[in-house]
Amino acid sequence: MKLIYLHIKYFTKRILFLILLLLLFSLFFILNKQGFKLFDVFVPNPYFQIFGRMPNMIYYPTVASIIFLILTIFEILFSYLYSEYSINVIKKKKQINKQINESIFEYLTKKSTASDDRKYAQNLNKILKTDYAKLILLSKLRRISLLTTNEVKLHCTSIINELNYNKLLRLYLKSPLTEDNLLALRLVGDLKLTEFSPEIETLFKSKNSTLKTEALNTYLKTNPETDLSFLDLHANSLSLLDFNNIINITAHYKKINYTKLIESRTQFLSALGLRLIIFNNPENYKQLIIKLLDSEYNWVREEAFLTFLELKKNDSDFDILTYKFERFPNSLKIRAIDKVTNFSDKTSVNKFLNWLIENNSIEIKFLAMKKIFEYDMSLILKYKGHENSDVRKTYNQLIDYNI
Amino acid sequence: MDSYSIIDIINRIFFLYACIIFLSYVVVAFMSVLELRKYLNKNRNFDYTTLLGFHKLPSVSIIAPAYNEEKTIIENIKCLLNIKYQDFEIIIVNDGSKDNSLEIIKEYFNLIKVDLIYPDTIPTKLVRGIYKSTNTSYTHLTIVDKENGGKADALNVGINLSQKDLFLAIDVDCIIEPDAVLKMVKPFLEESHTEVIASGGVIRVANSCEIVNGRVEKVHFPKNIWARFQVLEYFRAFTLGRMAWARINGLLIISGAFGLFSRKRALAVGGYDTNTVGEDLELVVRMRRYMHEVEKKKHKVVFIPDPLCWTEVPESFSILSRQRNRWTRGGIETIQKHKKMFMSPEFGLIGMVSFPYWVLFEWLAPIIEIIGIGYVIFMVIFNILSFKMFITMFAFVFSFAILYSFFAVLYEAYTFNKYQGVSYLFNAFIIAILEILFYQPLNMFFSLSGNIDIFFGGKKKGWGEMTRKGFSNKST
Repeated sequence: MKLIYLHIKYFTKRILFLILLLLLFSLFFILNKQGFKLFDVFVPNPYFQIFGRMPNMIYYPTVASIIFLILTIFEILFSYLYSEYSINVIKKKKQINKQINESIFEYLTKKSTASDDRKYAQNLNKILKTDYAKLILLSKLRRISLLTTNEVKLHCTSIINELNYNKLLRLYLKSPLTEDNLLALRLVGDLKLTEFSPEIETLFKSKNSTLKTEALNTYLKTNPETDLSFLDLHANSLSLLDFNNIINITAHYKKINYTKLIESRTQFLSALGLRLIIFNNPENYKQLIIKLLDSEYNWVREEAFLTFLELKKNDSDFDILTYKFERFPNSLKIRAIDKVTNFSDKTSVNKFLNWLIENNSIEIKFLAMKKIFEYDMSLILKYKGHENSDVRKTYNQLIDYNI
Repeated sequence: MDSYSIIDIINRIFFLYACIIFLSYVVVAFMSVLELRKYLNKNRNFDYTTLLGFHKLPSVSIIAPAYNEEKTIIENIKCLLNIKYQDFEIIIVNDGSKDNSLEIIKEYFNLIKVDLIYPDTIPTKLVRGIYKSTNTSYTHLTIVDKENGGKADALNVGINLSQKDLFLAIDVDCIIEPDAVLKMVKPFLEESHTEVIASGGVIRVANSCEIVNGRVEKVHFPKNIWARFQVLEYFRAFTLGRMAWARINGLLIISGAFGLFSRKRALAVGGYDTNTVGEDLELVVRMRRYMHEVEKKKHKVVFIPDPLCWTEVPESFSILSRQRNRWTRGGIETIQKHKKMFMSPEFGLIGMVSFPYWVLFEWLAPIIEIIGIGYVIFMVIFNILSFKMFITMFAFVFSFAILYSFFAVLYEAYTFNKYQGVSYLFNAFIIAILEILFYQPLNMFFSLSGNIDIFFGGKKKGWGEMTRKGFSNKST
């Protein structure tokens, strides 16, 4: 029933608008006639005297003008109604939010048992009349359970289970309104509910890219054991937004097949694999990372470089770093300076920073010198009288800047 | 051929032209509704702060040319520093100000001159100095002092200096919402097969709004009548017009006061053209042309309908006329420069639809309308056109114009609802009527004068004086 209601709600506005347009359009055919038949009843046209004798060149623009004026009146009316409606909706949402917040905090801050949780959930179901309020409650409980530990977390989880809004979520997943789908997908993902896989799959196949993205996020959140191999089929339709979402969700997943991802011929997957291994023992993939510093794809090379910077480096890596350094954009070079502490010893760090000062732009010189200044001020003194004027300039600038 | 046949032909031409304009407005309204709805469905409940936690986000340079802004420059920069984004920098380009703008900024932000190499990738006027702050809170602020060269030249300096993936070109006195960059960047992340080269935003009228700490706290319908006309005009132009063009990927213009561009692509085309006063339009057209002719890649220029940028619009006849004159000249200069694109299938929809539309219905429309009005008056005087017919056609055009204006008002109420209340609607209705009788004819006149200046008047150069009152900024 509720699903039918949602479909009716979706189509009603459109149908009413079409009916209004048809009624207005029918004026063209009615106003210059003496009358018309409506269910075998003849309805006379009281405006026939005015419009009946008009030549077409006058009649049609005149009727069009009348239609435009009527539509304008509707526009003014609806502008007012929509505006007031929006204001009221925002007020109501604020009220609901406040009500829910006060109720949740009041309950969670006192001692309670599992049966108290059940009673509280039942009370909430009686108080919260709208679906929106119920889903907001669910969302807030979930957030609190993520932010808290021990008893509060347990009570939140218990109340969520007692509320049993799965039917409501299923309804919203099947709703024709995108907003409803998105809200439900986010909740299903946050609550890690695995029983909605068919609905998630349907939405993932949607032509609507927003729904597709959100469905992917939800699938990943509800499948922590995934190895991400399913992305093979979809990599060409994934965007940078998806790339970031996948990383944020799966960064600490244990079953990902990193080698398969990194060695993929699709640059999206290769870049994804390279980014993900930063969170999961990148040292084990060192040789693969070094190999991809020469990838044919710009994106993959840059990801490989970023991952390489995260590795614990020794003296032999210094040559690799300096040899490949020039091919990367400034933003990555600056990152390299930030990550010098990943070199295993101070000698290598100094060597690298010194190389940067001797061989790069003033901006890079400055940042490298600043790094040296930060951990051992005395080491920059040698640049004061350096043979290279740019190095000397950088030294003076650094002193002006910091002292 | 007798005179009646000639009149008949002329009538048919005007009638056809009017029908096309009329239909185009209907199509624009329809398409913008679809595009707005798509945008809102996608983004209404999207939590933009999640972008702040992204691992791969394009970096952004916010480039703001400044000329004689000593009264408000500090507040303007502070407003920009409040922007929420992961990796961004602010480049303020002091374009040879004759007042104390630079000294004021230097003192407030503890700036020192730095010896950064200035890469002259795009030729610009002399850069006299680059300044950075010794205060670590302002590490992402850079001030550039240069010889005066105009807005386009100042922007080019910013592009040269920037090391970021994208640049946001803004007017320094615009008020930008803190999450503006997040919203403008999102389209760059969403495409998988098409490269987004630029995204434009809506400019909203800040006149009479309450500004607190560099943010628009409460929106009011302006008190000044000229500003009121422009509110309605901007509703139509931005909310309806540009959204419709963006839907079919036919958008040719992004506002110079607020636009986000791919730095790589802007550099590839040589940055802003300093020889035109319509540098914003010209850059987008040139970038589009480049993507078609050279890169031959699918690309997009998108439009964000959220009210993210607020600016002060002209409140006097003289400043408004200078602004509109400049817009006309800028449009004509761009059309002349890129006339190759007119009706050229090589440029796809841009060449076959957008560019011809711009020529026929943006540039030529005011001229044809003025001729049309003159022609109608001539016909009425010489009894060729009956007065009854004249009144009927006038009523038709008048009622359609009000309908269209109010459609934009309705859509604003439905989407962002920044203006509220019965008195606003009443005032908007009065303005919609006065607009047709008074403001639109004035705009036609401004456009005509722009045409005369460029073709007959020894080409007026430059922006002219654009005095602004500045916002009365309250601080908490």
